[in-house]
Amino acid sequence: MREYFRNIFEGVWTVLVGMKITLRHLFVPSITLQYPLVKWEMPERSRNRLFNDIDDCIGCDQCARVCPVDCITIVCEKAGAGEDLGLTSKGTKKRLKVKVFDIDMSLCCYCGLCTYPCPTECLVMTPTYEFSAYDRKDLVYHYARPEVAEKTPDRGTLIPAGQTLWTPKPEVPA
Amino acid sequence: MGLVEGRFKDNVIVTSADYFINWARLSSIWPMGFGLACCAIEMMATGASRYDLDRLGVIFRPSPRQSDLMIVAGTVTLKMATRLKRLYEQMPEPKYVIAMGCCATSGGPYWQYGYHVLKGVDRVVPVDVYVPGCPPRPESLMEGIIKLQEKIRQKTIAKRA
Repeated sequence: MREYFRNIFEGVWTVLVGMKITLRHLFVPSITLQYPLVKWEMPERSRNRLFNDIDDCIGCDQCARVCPVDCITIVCEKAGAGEDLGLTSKGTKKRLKVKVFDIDMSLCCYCGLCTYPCPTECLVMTPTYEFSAYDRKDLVYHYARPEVAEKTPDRGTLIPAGQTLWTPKPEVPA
Repeated sequence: MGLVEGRFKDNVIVTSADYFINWARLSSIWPMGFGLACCAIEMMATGASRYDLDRLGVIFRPSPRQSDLMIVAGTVTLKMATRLKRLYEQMPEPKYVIAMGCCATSGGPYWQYGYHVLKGVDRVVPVDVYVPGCPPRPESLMEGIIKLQEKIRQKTIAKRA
Protein backbone atom coordinates (compact mmCIF):
# COMPACT_ATOMS: atom_id res chain seq x y z
CA MET A 1 0.00 0.00 0.00
CA ARG A 2 2.72 2.43 1.00
CA GLU A 3 4.83 1.41 -2.00
CA TYR A 4 1.85 2.13 -4.27
CA PHE A 5 1.41 5.76 -3.14
CA ARG A 6 5.16 6.29 -3.15
CA ASN A 7 5.24 5.28 -6.83
CA ILE A 8 2.47 7.74 -7.66
CA PHE A 9 4.21 10.52 -5.78
CA GLU A 10 7.53 9.81 -7.47
CA GLY A 11 5.89 9.78 -10.86
CA VAL A 12 4.25 13.16 -10.34
CA TRP A 13 7.31 14.68 -8.70
CA THR A 14 9.76 13.68 -11.45
CA VAL A 15 7.41 15.05 -14.08
CA LEU A 16 7.26 18.34 -12.15
CA VAL A 17 11.06 18.47 -11.98
CA GLY A 18 11.22 18.14 -15.73
CA MET A 19 8.40 20.61 -16.32
CA LYS A 20 10.21 23.20 -14.20
CA ILE A 21 12.77 23.63 -16.99
CA THR A 22 10.00 23.88 -19.56
CA LEU A 23 8.24 26.47 -17.44
CA ARG A 24 11.42 28.49 -17.09
CA HIS A 25 11.85 28.56 -20.87
CA LEU A 26 8.30 29.81 -21.27
CA PHE A 27 9.42 33.22 -20.03
CA VAL A 28 12.67 33.39 -22.00
CA PRO A 29 12.40 35.74 -25.00
CA SER A 30 12.17 33.98 -28.36
CA ILE A 31 15.36 33.78 -30.36
CA THR A 32 13.65 33.36 -33.71
CA LEU A 33 14.79 35.77 -36.37
CA GLN A 34 11.68 36.95 -38.25
CA TYR A 35 13.62 36.55 -41.47
CA PRO A 36 11.91 38.36 -44.34
CA LEU A 37 11.19 41.30 -42.06
CA VAL A 38 14.32 41.24 -39.92
CA LYS A 39 17.72 40.45 -41.35
CA TRP A 40 21.01 39.88 -39.68
CA GLU A 41 23.77 42.25 -40.53
CA MET A 42 26.40 40.22 -42.29
CA PRO A 43 29.82 40.30 -40.68
CA GLU A 44 32.54 42.27 -42.39
CA ARG A 45 34.38 40.22 -45.05
CA SER A 46 31.60 37.66 -45.19
CA ARG A 47 31.89 35.62 -48.35
CA ASN A 48 28.81 35.49 -50.50
CA ARG A 49 28.14 36.64 -54.04
CA LEU A 50 31.14 37.76 -56.05
CA PHE A 51 31.23 41.23 -57.47
CA ASN A 52 33.59 42.51 -60.13
CA ASP A 53 34.03 46.19 -60.71
CA ILE A 54 34.59 45.95 -64.45
CA ASP A 55 35.88 49.51 -64.72
CA ASP A 56 38.85 48.55 -62.55
CA CYS A 57 39.44 45.12 -64.11
CA ILE A 58 42.61 44.85 -66.18
CA GLY A 59 41.84 41.34 -67.47
CA CYS A 60 44.94 39.73 -65.98
CA ASP A 61 43.17 36.32 -65.74
CA GLN A 62 44.71 35.57 -62.35
CA CYS A 63 41.33 35.01 -60.66
CA ALA A 64 40.23 32.59 -63.38
CA ARG A 65 43.47 30.63 -63.07
CA VAL A 66 43.34 30.38 -59.28
CA CYS A 67 39.67 29.36 -59.20
CA PRO A 68 39.51 25.72 -58.05
CA VAL A 69 36.26 25.08 -59.91
CA ASP A 70 36.92 27.27 -62.99
CA CYS A 71 33.75 29.27 -62.61
CA ILE A 72 35.22 32.49 -64.01
CA THR A 73 35.46 32.96 -67.77
CA ILE A 74 37.53 35.85 -69.09
CA VAL A 75 38.09 36.74 -72.72
CA CYS A 76 40.38 39.68 -73.43
CA GLU A 77 41.53 41.58 -76.46
CA LYS A 78 44.69 43.58 -76.84
CA ALA A 79 44.30 47.29 -77.16
CA GLY A 80 45.10 48.58 -80.62
CA ALA A 81 48.22 50.58 -81.34
CA GLY A 82 47.99 54.03 -79.86
CA GLU A 83 44.70 53.21 -78.15
CA ASP A 84 44.45 54.41 -74.57
CA LEU A 85 42.13 52.42 -72.36
CA GLY A 86 42.66 54.67 -69.39
CA LEU A 87 43.64 53.93 -65.82
CA THR A 88 41.99 52.04 -63.01
CA SER A 89 41.00 53.87 -59.84
CA LYS A 90 44.31 52.78 -58.28
CA GLY A 91 46.34 54.11 -61.21
CA THR A 92 47.16 50.85 -63.01
CA LYS A 93 47.29 51.22 -66.78
CA LYS A 94 44.74 49.09 -68.61
CA ARG A 95 46.29 47.21 -71.52
CA LEU A 96 43.60 44.66 -72.33
CA LYS A 97 40.01 45.12 -73.33
CA VAL A 98 37.89 42.79 -71.18
CA LYS A 99 35.36 41.40 -73.62
CA VAL A 100 33.83 38.68 -71.43
CA PHE A 101 33.90 38.43 -67.68
CA ASP A 102 31.39 35.78 -66.65
CA ILE A 103 31.11 34.33 -63.17
CA ASP A 104 28.90 31.28 -62.80
CA MET A 105 27.66 31.56 -59.23
CA SER A 106 26.06 28.13 -59.50
CA LEU A 107 29.54 26.62 -59.68
CA CYS A 108 31.30 28.93 -57.23
CA CYS A 109 32.36 27.29 -53.99
CA TYR A 110 32.74 30.60 -52.15
CA CYS A 111 36.33 30.00 -51.12
CA GLY A 112 37.35 33.58 -51.93
CA LEU A 113 40.66 32.48 -53.44
CA CYS A 114 40.02 34.62 -56.52
CA THR A 115 39.94 37.83 -54.52
CA TYR A 116 43.47 37.41 -53.14
CA PRO A 117 45.54 37.67 -56.34
CA CYS A 118 43.44 40.46 -57.87
CA PRO A 119 46.02 43.25 -58.39
CA THR A 120 43.49 46.06 -58.68
CA GLU A 121 41.22 44.69 -55.94
CA CYS A 122 38.24 44.89 -58.24
CA LEU A 123 36.97 41.35 -57.56
CA VAL A 124 35.42 41.12 -54.12
CA MET A 125 32.98 38.91 -52.27
CA THR A 126 29.95 40.88 -51.20
CA PRO A 127 27.61 40.17 -48.29
CA THR A 128 24.67 39.67 -50.68
CA TYR A 129 23.27 36.20 -50.14
CA GLU A 130 19.73 36.44 -51.49
CA PHE A 131 20.00 35.69 -55.17
CA SER A 132 18.18 32.44 -55.77
CA ALA A 133 16.78 32.11 -59.26
CA TYR A 134 14.08 30.33 -61.22
CA ASP A 135 16.54 29.49 -63.96
CA ARG A 136 20.08 28.22 -63.74
CA LYS A 137 21.19 30.67 -66.43
CA ASP A 138 20.23 33.58 -64.19
CA LEU A 139 23.02 32.58 -61.81
CA VAL A 140 25.65 33.36 -64.43
CA TYR A 141 26.68 36.96 -64.03
CA HIS A 142 27.99 38.75 -67.10
CA TYR A 143 30.03 41.60 -65.75
CA ALA A 144 31.66 42.87 -68.94
CA ARG A 145 28.52 42.63 -71.01
CA PRO A 146 25.77 44.69 -69.42
CA GLU A 147 23.68 44.25 -72.56
CA VAL A 148 23.42 40.51 -71.85
CA ALA A 149 22.86 40.81 -68.13
CA GLU A 150 19.26 41.44 -67.17
CA LYS A 151 20.07 42.96 -63.84
CA THR A 152 23.38 44.41 -62.94
CA PRO A 153 24.62 43.01 -59.66
CA ASP A 154 25.65 45.41 -56.99
CA ARG A 155 28.19 45.43 -54.25
CA GLY A 156 25.67 44.85 -51.52
CA THR A 157 24.96 46.97 -48.53
CA LEU A 158 28.05 46.65 -46.42
CA ILE A 159 30.65 47.85 -48.88
CA PRO A 160 30.01 51.34 -50.24
CA ALA A 161 31.10 51.95 -53.80
CA GLY A 162 34.71 52.96 -54.16
CA GLN A 163 35.76 51.05 -51.10
CA THR A 164 37.28 47.60 -51.01
CA LEU A 165 37.11 44.86 -48.45
CA TRP A 166 40.82 45.05 -47.91
CA THR A 167 42.55 47.49 -45.69
CA PRO A 168 45.54 48.72 -47.68
CA LYS A 169 48.88 47.48 -46.49
CA PRO A 170 51.01 50.17 -44.84
CA GLU A 171 53.85 51.13 -47.12
CA VAL A 172 57.21 49.90 -45.89
CA PRO A 173 59.86 52.58 -46.22
CA ALA A 174 62.78 51.36 -48.26
CA MET B 1 -4.76 18.23 -61.42
CA GLY B 2 -5.45 16.51 -64.69
CA LEU B 3 -9.21 16.52 -64.15
CA VAL B 4 -9.89 20.23 -64.21
CA GLU B 5 -6.93 21.68 -66.03
CA GLY B 6 -7.75 23.25 -69.34
CA ARG B 7 -11.49 22.75 -68.97
CA PHE B 8 -12.41 26.25 -67.89
CA LYS B 9 -11.82 29.73 -69.12
CA ASP B 10 -10.77 32.57 -66.88
CA ASN B 11 -13.79 33.84 -65.01
CA VAL B 12 -14.58 35.06 -61.56
CA ILE B 13 -15.21 31.60 -60.15
CA VAL B 14 -12.00 30.17 -61.52
CA THR B 15 -9.84 33.07 -60.39
CA SER B 16 -11.39 33.04 -56.91
CA ALA B 17 -10.80 29.31 -56.69
CA ASP B 18 -7.25 29.88 -57.91
CA TYR B 19 -6.66 32.44 -55.22
CA PHE B 20 -7.89 30.13 -52.50
CA ILE B 21 -6.15 27.00 -53.79
CA ASN B 22 -2.87 28.82 -54.31
CA TRP B 23 -3.09 30.38 -50.87
CA ALA B 24 -3.68 26.96 -49.33
CA ARG B 25 -0.80 25.43 -51.28
CA LEU B 26 1.75 28.11 -50.67
CA SER B 27 1.09 28.43 -46.98
CA SER B 28 1.52 24.74 -46.27
CA ILE B 29 4.47 23.59 -48.32
CA TRP B 30 5.50 20.33 -46.76
CA PRO B 31 8.97 19.39 -47.90
CA MET B 32 10.52 16.00 -47.92
CA GLY B 33 13.70 15.99 -45.91
CA PHE B 34 16.17 15.14 -48.62
CA GLY B 35 19.45 15.94 -46.93
CA LEU B 36 22.37 14.41 -48.78
CA ALA B 37 25.44 16.34 -47.69
CA CYS B 38 26.57 19.46 -45.84
CA CYS B 39 23.64 21.49 -47.21
CA ALA B 40 21.44 19.27 -45.03
CA ILE B 41 23.06 20.81 -41.94
CA GLU B 42 21.95 24.26 -43.10
CA MET B 43 18.52 22.85 -43.94
CA MET B 44 18.22 21.50 -40.39
CA ALA B 45 19.39 24.85 -39.04
CA THR B 46 16.67 26.52 -41.09
CA GLY B 47 14.10 24.24 -39.52
CA ALA B 48 15.39 24.84 -36.00
CA SER B 49 14.26 27.56 -33.66
CA ARG B 50 16.58 30.36 -34.80
CA TYR B 51 15.12 30.56 -38.30
CA ASP B 52 12.03 28.40 -37.77
CA LEU B 53 10.64 27.30 -41.12
CA ASP B 54 7.34 26.47 -39.42
CA ARG B 55 6.51 30.16 -39.58
CA LEU B 56 6.13 29.74 -43.34
CA GLY B 57 4.05 26.60 -42.96
CA VAL B 58 6.99 24.45 -43.97
CA ILE B 59 6.96 21.25 -41.95
CA PHE B 60 9.38 18.48 -42.83
CA ARG B 61 7.78 15.15 -43.64
CA PRO B 62 9.52 11.79 -43.58
CA SER B 63 7.66 10.34 -46.54
CA PRO B 64 7.44 11.46 -50.18
CA ARG B 65 3.74 10.53 -50.19
CA GLN B 66 3.00 13.36 -47.76
CA SER B 67 5.18 16.05 -49.28
CA ASP B 68 4.71 18.82 -51.82
CA LEU B 69 8.29 19.95 -52.07
CA MET B 70 11.59 18.21 -52.41
CA ILE B 71 14.54 20.21 -51.12
CA VAL B 72 17.50 18.49 -52.71
CA ALA B 73 20.18 19.51 -50.24
CA GLY B 74 23.57 18.25 -51.21
CA THR B 75 25.66 16.39 -53.73
CA VAL B 76 23.59 14.00 -55.81
CA THR B 77 25.72 11.06 -56.84
CA LEU B 78 24.77 9.05 -59.91
CA LYS B 79 23.76 6.17 -57.66
CA MET B 80 21.47 8.49 -55.70
CA ALA B 81 20.04 10.05 -58.85
CA THR B 82 17.97 6.99 -59.66
CA ARG B 83 16.60 6.98 -56.12
CA LEU B 84 15.97 10.73 -56.33
CA LYS B 85 13.90 10.28 -59.47
CA ARG B 86 11.93 7.45 -57.89
CA LEU B 87 11.22 9.49 -54.76
CA TYR B 88 10.14 12.43 -56.91
CA GLU B 89 7.73 10.21 -58.80
CA GLN B 90 6.30 8.97 -55.50
CA MET B 91 5.30 12.49 -54.50
CA PRO B 92 1.69 13.49 -55.20
CA GLU B 93 0.90 16.36 -57.55
CA PRO B 94 1.39 19.30 -57.35
CA LYS B 95 5.06 18.87 -56.55
CA TYR B 96 7.93 21.28 -56.51
CA VAL B 97 11.68 20.93 -56.31
CA ILE B 98 14.22 23.28 -54.80
CA ALA B 99 17.84 22.64 -55.76
CA MET B 100 19.71 23.79 -52.69
CA GLY B 101 23.37 24.58 -53.03
CA CYS B 102 25.80 24.48 -55.90
CA CYS B 103 26.11 20.69 -56.02
CA ALA B 104 22.42 20.17 -56.60
CA THR B 105 22.19 23.13 -58.96
CA SER B 106 24.99 22.28 -61.35
CA GLY B 107 27.37 19.80 -59.81
CA GLY B 108 29.20 22.60 -58.05
CA PRO B 109 32.83 21.74 -57.25
CA TYR B 110 32.40 18.40 -59.02
CA TRP B 111 31.21 19.78 -62.33
CA GLN B 112 34.49 19.16 -64.15
CA TYR B 113 36.13 16.10 -62.70
CA GLY B 114 33.40 14.52 -60.61
CA TYR B 115 33.02 11.15 -62.27
CA HIS B 116 30.35 10.10 -59.81
CA VAL B 117 28.24 13.24 -59.43
CA LEU B 118 25.07 14.21 -61.24
CA LYS B 119 25.73 17.61 -62.82
CA GLY B 120 22.62 19.27 -61.50
CA VAL B 121 19.34 17.69 -60.44
CA ASP B 122 17.56 19.37 -63.35
CA ARG B 123 18.91 16.53 -65.45
CA VAL B 124 16.51 14.11 -63.76
CA VAL B 125 13.71 16.18 -62.18
CA PRO B 126 12.25 19.60 -63.06
CA VAL B 127 13.59 22.23 -60.68
CA ASP B 128 11.53 25.25 -59.66
CA VAL B 129 13.98 27.33 -57.63
CA TYR B 130 17.77 27.23 -57.56
CA VAL B 131 19.29 28.37 -54.29
CA PRO B 132 22.98 29.18 -54.75
CA GLY B 133 25.54 28.87 -52.01
CA CYS B 134 28.07 26.38 -50.78
CA PRO B 135 26.17 25.74 -48.57
CA PRO B 136 23.53 28.48 -48.66
CA ARG B 137 22.80 30.42 -45.52
CA PRO B 138 19.52 29.52 -43.82
CA GLU B 139 18.19 32.89 -44.97
CA SER B 140 19.05 31.96 -48.54
CA LEU B 141 16.99 28.79 -48.29
CA MET B 142 14.11 30.74 -46.80
CA GLU B 143 14.37 33.25 -49.62
CA GLY B 144 14.21 30.34 -52.05
CA ILE B 145 11.07 29.06 -50.37
CA ILE B 146 9.53 32.54 -50.47
CA LYS B 147 10.39 32.70 -54.18
CA LEU B 148 8.69 29.34 -54.63
CA GLN B 149 5.62 30.72 -52.85
CA GLU B 150 5.58 33.60 -55.32
CA LYS B 151 5.74 31.07 -58.13
CA ILE B 152 2.85 29.04 -56.71
CA ARG B 153 0.82 32.24 -56.41
CA GLN B 154 0.98 32.65 -60.20
CA LYS B 155 -0.50 29.20 -60.93
CA THR B 156 -4.03 28.73 -62.17
CA ILE B 157 -6.28 25.73 -62.64
CA ALA B 158 -7.46 27.13 -65.98
CA LYS B 159 -4.32 26.00 -67.74
CA ARG B 160 -1.51 23.64 -67.06
CA ALA B 161 1.48 25.54 -65.88
